[in-house]
Amino acid sequence: MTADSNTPGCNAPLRDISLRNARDVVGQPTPLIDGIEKVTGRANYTADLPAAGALVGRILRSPFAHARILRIDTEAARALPGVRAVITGADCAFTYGVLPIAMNEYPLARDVVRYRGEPVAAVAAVDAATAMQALKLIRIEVEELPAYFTAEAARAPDAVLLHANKERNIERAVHHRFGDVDAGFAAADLVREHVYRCAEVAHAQMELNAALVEYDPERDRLTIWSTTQVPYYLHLMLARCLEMDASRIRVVKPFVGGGFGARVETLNFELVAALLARAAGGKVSLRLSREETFLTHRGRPETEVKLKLGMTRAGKLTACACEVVQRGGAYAGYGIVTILYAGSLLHALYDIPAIAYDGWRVYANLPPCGAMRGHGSVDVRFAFESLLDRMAGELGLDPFAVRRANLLSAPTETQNGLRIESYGLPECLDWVEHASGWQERRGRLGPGRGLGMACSHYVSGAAKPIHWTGEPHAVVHLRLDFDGGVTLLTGAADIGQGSSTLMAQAAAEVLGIRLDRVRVVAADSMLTPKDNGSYSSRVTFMVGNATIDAARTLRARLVAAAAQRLGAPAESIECWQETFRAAGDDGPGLPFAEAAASVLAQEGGAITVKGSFTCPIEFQGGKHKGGAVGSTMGFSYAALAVEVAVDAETGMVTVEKVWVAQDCGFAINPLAVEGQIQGAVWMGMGQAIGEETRYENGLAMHASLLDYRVPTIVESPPVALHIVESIDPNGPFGAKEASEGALAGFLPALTNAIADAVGLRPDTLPVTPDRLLEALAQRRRAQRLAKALEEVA
Amino acid sequence: MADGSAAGAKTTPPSLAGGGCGEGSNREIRMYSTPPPNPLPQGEGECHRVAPLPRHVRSFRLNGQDHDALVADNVLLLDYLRDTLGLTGTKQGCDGGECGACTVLIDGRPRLACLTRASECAGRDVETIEGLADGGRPSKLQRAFHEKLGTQCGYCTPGMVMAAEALLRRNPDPDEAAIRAALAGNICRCTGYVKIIEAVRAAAGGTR
Repeated sequence: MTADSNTPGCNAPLRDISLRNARDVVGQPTPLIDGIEKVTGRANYTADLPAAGALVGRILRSPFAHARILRIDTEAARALPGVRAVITGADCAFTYGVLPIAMNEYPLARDVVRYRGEPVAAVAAVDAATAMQALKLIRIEVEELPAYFTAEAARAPDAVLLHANKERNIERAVHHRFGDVDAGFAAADLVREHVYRCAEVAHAQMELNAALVEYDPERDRLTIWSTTQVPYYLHLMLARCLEMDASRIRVVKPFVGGGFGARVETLNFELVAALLARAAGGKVSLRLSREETFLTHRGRPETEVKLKLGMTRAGKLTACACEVVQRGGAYAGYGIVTILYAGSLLHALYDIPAIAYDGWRVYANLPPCGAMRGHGSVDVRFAFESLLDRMAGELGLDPFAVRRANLLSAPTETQNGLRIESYGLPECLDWVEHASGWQERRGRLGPGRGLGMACSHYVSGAAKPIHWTGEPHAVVHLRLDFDGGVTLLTGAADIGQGSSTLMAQAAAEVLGIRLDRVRVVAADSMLTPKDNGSYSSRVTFMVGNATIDAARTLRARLVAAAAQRLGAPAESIECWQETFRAAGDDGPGLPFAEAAASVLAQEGGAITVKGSFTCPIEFQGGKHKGGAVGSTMGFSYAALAVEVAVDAETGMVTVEKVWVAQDCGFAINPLAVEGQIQGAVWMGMGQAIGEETRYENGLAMHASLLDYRVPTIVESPPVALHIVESIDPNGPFGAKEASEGALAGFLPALTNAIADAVGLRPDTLPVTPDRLLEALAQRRRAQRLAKALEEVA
Repeated sequence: MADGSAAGAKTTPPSLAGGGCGEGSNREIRMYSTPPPNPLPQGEGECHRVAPLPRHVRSFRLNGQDHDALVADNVLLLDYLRDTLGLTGTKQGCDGGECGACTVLIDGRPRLACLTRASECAGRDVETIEGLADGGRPSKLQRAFHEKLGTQCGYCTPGMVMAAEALLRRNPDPDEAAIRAALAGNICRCTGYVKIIEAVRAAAGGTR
């Protein structure tokens, strides 16, 4: 394996170390603070929690893609001995959804079912066999409605509407114009337009969806443990759908086995489990199968991108016009945000004078799509970098040179109101070009082998929150008590990305204490402050900054106590390696535990301090409609090169090696940053070469890990990576996001490499062997035809 | 990609229940080509509604201890470990034989606990992730997964570690190809496998 050494920031400016009173915790490769539990099997995920005596929940799902429900007969199911609750859409008249402006889904379908697999009824019984038997006794009468499985069919003028008032089944149309696009194309030496298509993909997180719910009918209290990335949003929707005061609900996030966006909104099974527990008056365990986990979905939508670019002979972009159609599935979910991201993130990577964007989010009778790693940006970036590469080729320009001809310079503000404070893309390009041997090796790899490159970027948290409550974007508590331990309380969900470790590092760094003096509690609404959750790569930036804020407050109080004890002015006191000393004092100093005891004595016992972070209004995007989406305080940047081998006989594409450089601002935990970048690149590879959902008349044909083929270790390439540290002025220690930015770049880097290898540029993803073989055969037919016509002429 | 409209298609409605709905149905369908004589108890509480199969005592070694299991012949090892014994380190990530998360060692070989009946283990030596640590301290391999970040979300990790453990026992110094071959049946969705390979190499001594 390569994983070449990652000397951080060889091209980056010196780090601002003014924040640091010690330099031994942040910036150090740090194994996860909860890693021992994971490798020993002691980590308890939702399905591992003690559930003795819990009832077993099961969901009855619609076999119809689109139908009006006339009657649901649950009498026989209710009469079955051992059944404790049977619920249907009649038991919850409240919609839910992550966006306050688009809540159009019921926990259990009411009146109409809109996709095959939609929950229709649910049962809680004393055991699984009884629950399954009860499901078989439920009878549903329906009147079938026309169903649509493509965006095109759903948009037909005579199509029946899935949702009232959504003409032609368009959930949201977006039309944004920035700059003079016509003038831009007129000024271009080369204008090209092409249509690209990307299949729908799924997160396929390893942990199956599950929820455990305990309801106490005597006191009307409900506790849920769930596989969620967003405990707070789940809390809100439970209160709404169960008509309960939020104070009677407790949401606990145990270990979570991955998310990638699948769990960034409340999901139907969580609400169903809660409704069942209340109906049964007890504890219900609801564990979904892999098939059901696929049906719950929220993946990246099937997308068509029609892209037009204008370019000068020197490779400078003059204009961009982009039309995007996303097949969003049956309900809104995050759909409006996804179609807005697709347009807004055309900006902020390159300097483009004029951009026109038209997007349509379309309902169809399929499981709802949602947010997936690189939310909204990935398929458009594939199209953009593919066309850019093709035009560079036509103009005889080097792909790296074309990117360099269009760089931004920070600080700047894009035409759609996105602010860029740090921009490490030039350094990313330099490293990838050098490390991949681009100039020496490209075109000299032999037949069937090729090199391709591309760039991508992503936000470090959405600067405008979904719920405008007036509260800070992030709040963290730090607690200090007699034992001298520092307990960090956060609602941010560690789902494996290592956010709890990162927060512990940030707190330890500011306080000048050992990492293992910090304990992290995440997340339990009874104990931990509200957090919006783990999505849009917001946690490092926002919760990291809130952690620093809390730690500084606690430090100030410790320093004041230490100053008294040491008889020195507070301004001169530093804590390093758990010892407080005045400047210039090389004596034994005051141990942390003693300073802590002094603070507690002075302040009357255990103290909890609060830290918070808010994105200033000027970072919250443009004033145009939808202008908040894409707004962030820091963009990550990535450049990638991919080397492929293409077998023209079988159509098989083998990814030989990947080189990736990412500007993550500052790597608070370089080990985790490497892991995130490698994982993101690899997930991009899955989408590029093999992953796709498939439906036959709305029936999911892909709903297992044998049919939905994510790459195994056998076909996964070595990844050489480099971390660029641009030190963002607002990021915690200069950090930005590291988990999403590199994903999108992989897709076009791969197809650009295929184009280099075989002279044929795939425009449809994934590039499966059958698609590539068909494209190669088509080219041969076209060549023969051209030759024949030439001979005739 | 799916075809267009199936407007008004009046096909016979598929069976409403059981058709790929619950965990139980999937596992029944995937486990047997013909329906089993009785529905499988799914472990989440005993099955009272159907006559259970008779139970037998099946004796085997479990994590180095003699163990007498009282099980019916249709109980999966995965459910027995997790639901009866509370050994939840072994994970379920799929509907049967898709992902490798439930990999355990039987007589030192990697086996999927979701495709193995508990009764099949009679007379054999069964090892789970819980048996790998020594006196509560992680084994060298577990430590390597921790320190090299061969684990992110951790859900595939127990299966991955057990598959790697089997490899290292029969080949203490595997090259990269051998590591890839040995872990080919274990899916990880977080790491891209890069650091998993590094972890196994580090545990092996990393001489290659």
